[in-house]
Amino acid sequence: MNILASYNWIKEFVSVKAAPDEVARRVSLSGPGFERSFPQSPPFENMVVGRIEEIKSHPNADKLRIAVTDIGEKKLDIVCGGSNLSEGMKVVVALAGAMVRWHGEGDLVELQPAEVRGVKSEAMICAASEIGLGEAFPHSANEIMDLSWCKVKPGTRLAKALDLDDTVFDIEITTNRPDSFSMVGIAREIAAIMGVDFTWKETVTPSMPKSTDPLPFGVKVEEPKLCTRYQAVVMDGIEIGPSPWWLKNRLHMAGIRPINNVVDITNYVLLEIGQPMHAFDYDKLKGAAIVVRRAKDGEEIALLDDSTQKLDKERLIIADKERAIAIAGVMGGEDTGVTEKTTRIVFESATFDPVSVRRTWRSLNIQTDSSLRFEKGLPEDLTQAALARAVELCQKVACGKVASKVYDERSVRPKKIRFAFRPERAEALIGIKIPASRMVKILKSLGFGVTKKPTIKRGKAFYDVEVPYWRARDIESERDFAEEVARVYGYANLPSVLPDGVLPVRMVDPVLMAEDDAKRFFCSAGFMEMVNYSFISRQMLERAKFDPGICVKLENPLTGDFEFMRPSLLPGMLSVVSENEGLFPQGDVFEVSNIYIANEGAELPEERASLLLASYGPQGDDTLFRRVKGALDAYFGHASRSVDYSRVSPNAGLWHPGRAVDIYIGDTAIGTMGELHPAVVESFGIDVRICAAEFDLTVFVKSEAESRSYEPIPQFPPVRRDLAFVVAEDVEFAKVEEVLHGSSELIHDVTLFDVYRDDRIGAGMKSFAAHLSFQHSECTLKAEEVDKEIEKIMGSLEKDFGAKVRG
Amino acid sequence: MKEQLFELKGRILEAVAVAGNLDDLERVETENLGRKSEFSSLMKGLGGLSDEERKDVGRLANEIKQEIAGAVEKRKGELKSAAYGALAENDRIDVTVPGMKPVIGHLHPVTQAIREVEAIFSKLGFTRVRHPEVEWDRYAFESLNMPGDHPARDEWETFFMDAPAHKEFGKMVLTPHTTSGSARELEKGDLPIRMMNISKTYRRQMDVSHTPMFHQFEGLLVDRNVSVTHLKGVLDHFAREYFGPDRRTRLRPYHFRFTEPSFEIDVSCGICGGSGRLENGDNCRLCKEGWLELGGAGMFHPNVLKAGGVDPEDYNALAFGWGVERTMMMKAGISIDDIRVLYRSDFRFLNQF
Repeated sequence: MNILASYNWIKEFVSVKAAPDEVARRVSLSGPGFERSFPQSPPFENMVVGRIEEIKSHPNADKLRIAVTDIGEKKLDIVCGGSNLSEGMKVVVALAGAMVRWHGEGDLVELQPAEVRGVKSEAMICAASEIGLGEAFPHSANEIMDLSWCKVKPGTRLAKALDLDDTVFDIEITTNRPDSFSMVGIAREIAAIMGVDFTWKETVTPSMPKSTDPLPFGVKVEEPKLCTRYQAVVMDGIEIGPSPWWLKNRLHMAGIRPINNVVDITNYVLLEIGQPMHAFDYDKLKGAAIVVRRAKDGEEIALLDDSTQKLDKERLIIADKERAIAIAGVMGGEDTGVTEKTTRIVFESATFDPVSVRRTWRSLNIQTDSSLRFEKGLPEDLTQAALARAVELCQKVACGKVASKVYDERSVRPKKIRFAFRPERAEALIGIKIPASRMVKILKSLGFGVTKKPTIKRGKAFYDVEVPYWRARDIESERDFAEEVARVYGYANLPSVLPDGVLPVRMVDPVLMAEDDAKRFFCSAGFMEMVNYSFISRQMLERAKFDPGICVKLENPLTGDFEFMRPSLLPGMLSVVSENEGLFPQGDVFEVSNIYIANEGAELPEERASLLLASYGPQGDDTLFRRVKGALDAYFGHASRSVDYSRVSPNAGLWHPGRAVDIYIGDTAIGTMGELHPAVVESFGIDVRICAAEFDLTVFVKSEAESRSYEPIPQFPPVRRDLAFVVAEDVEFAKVEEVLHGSSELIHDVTLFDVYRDDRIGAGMKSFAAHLSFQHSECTLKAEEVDKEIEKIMGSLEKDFGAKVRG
Repeated sequence: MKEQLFELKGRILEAVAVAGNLDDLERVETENLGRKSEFSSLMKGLGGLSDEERKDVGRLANEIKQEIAGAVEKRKGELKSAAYGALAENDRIDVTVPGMKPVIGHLHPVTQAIREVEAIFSKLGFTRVRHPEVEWDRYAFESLNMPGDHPARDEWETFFMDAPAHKEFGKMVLTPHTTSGSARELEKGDLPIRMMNISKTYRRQMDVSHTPMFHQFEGLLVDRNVSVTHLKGVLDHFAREYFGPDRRTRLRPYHFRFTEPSFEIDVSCGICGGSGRLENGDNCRLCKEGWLELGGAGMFHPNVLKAGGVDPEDYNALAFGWGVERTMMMKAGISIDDIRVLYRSDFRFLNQF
């Protein structure tokens, strides 16, 4: 969570002198992250405060006048058209070089001395909108900005006069440190980290003057667990109006829009101390009382953001005697809000249960600066300081007078939190020696109470550390002290050391090795790796013939596209092909990812590494099947596994029943390879033809690799012959190959190199052409011997398949 | 006969001398010294000579033959060097025609990054493991010091599974971080540990800089006498190996429930050399003041060690982990303006890696 913080504001509570950049750099390395710095003065360069000494008429223009203006070192004649010019008035004088926006419109332009209707004018008296302050200082269009309220001498730089010699830091506060989410909190961090004094003091609550009759009021907390402290005070004599510039300016720098002085005070205190506050219009409260209770089911409230919310009994609210007037810790109600007519208010400073606030804002979807802080958990001890500060400011800027006692309903008594602290344990964690005195100093600078214990534990120093109230939630054990010491000491001051110690010997998971190996293999073989989402939609599952009912389902998917965990890599591939086939009419892709197989009941699904391979090409491409099968065979060979293929069952659904096989290792089916069913392909809107393979890498890896054995290089050369023969279309090559090997003992290798069909061969027939290699281990084969083998082979082929040699 | 031989020698040597190319020379050689040559037939006449003469003429014939053979070799050498010398003109091709590329595939950029990360940490003895992506609340949160209603859980934007909760382990979720794997690793009780877990992780976020599925890697080192200085050592090692030898890291305090202390790691910017300023004086646009945010790290919280059955008084654990995608993009210096392209499998994207 980020906060915009004015450096000048922070400096009210810490005696830091360093330049803003230096503070940002040093604190970021030991505490909150100062992410960006925004210097505030640059837009106001070459602008000073001037006082109009005399007003003269312009010789050539009725609407223009000449203002003789004191700017400190000299007086200038400035031509000006402002209708509200008066002698003695303090104004903004823009000198040459200043960047102004003429009449508040268009781009910024650099001011140059000029002649206006024949009269020289060296500078310009500005309207608020011309220097970007139109919102803060509203005035009518033909007037200029009146600075008479400002108690500075003529010639003072405008940035200084308006407290804009400042830098705003954008600071990231981690969620465990709501105490730092304020000017005071940041000041405390800076003090500890930079070794300077933290000077903040709690405001003392002004008490009601004895002469005042208290206004009737009461506070009742019905839910002491959800509201652990509720403080309130009534203020009378309020004069509602715009806040003074200093207050507006600070809210503005923090990114908060000023509303009116009372509302601005609550926001100011929130930013300064970190405690959210609220102000109710006392006269709008029915029964002059506050009741903290649960909402009734169906109870409604109109909020300050103009919305109306329907509540239920899970929501904690602030009510008067009759109705809800605020949602506790989230937002106030419209009816009891402070308006221009308000004269009496109730300040609320309370502590609400973080979980309750979090649930409430989440269920109503209203996140505010208040809820953001309450949900992190605020200490009960913070409300007092905030209430006192608000009362003080209210007296100062809204003429408020205390008109009641301070009501204080507190259900949780203050409790001291203490932990032991052993410096040697901190050293062991940090990795270097740090003097115990240094550690103690660091802890103390952060507000911890440190006492050395008289008992010496095993000869080592031992401290008792008391946690300050603002750290009661994030400090949970001794370990936190070590972190505090280490960060303030500075991580940059620690050496960088490679770990020594024993190297644990662990086997790498064979599935992980196989995944990496397969990825490299298929990449080298020309395939492109895809990584698709693990999620899949119902529609995609159904198109690819998977039953969504047995798939792993998400309870809160982002969209319908991400409703299930995929049981297969195939549907993802199909949609990738449909996306790419337009620009890439053919392609070879693969993916190695987990698939998810649901288990019954309260058991995690199985996650299995799956390998998908696919080639696609135009409809006429007959080589797809052989390309995929070839790549797969090459991979299995590379991985020393022997697999068998067996035709898929005719109702395989996803697969083409005539063009697909299941892949077996031994008796275990590990996957399927082949063309996809045309109906499935069509349902994905795909025009090309696709052949794919998917198999379970987890099972594959578990199968035994064939031992690699060395075969001596033959001493005698092989004899090679090509043989082409015609068989019926339904004769499968595997059978032919079996017969070839079976009919000759000398045949060493068979390589099919062509399958051919034409009119001469005849319909329903095809020609196989193969390279045959013959080899004898003890002699060089003679041509006649090989001829005899060929005759034997042809005899068998003819007998078994009716094959005819093709001449 | 001697005269005939001398005369023949003269003719042959001349023919050799005038042979204009290697083919001519070969022909001259065959015609004059081959089986059917004049020289051969002359030699056949040797039989009609007396022993003395035959000896004499035979020696001469041999000498002549040697001489001719020498001349042929010499001429051959001359002709070859002439031919090689003319290669540039006579045997010239267009060398600007494009090459015929072998078909090569592409590894997804995330895979490439994972392989590099794995290799770097394996040198320090970290062994890669795999743990479930669909995980119990117990490992994703509970044992990481984030009990039931802890607001810190909100930061993880968790996906829940539509499955019954486990009595002991709670709800079924998609793990939002690889730290769930560390929780499981601790539970194995096999100490010391040097683990590298690289896995898909999931969070309910999808915009130009978030995908609901992404990859994280997480290193875990559990041993006696492990300290923050070692965490710095390991991270510096990674930064130098992965990004380059002149890169540095720094630790900034941060907050995670499962580590204490917790850090964010920055790596010095490779563009501006860590100065935050370019050579022309402009601010570096890639980094913040010379540093790039890399990821989170810390020393495991004693509660996390306890939950995994490890005694925090005896052992410490350093852990670090962050997104593979981000790390990959920081190294490649490619700024992908919409990272969803990583998992869209657009070939025009994948082709580039």
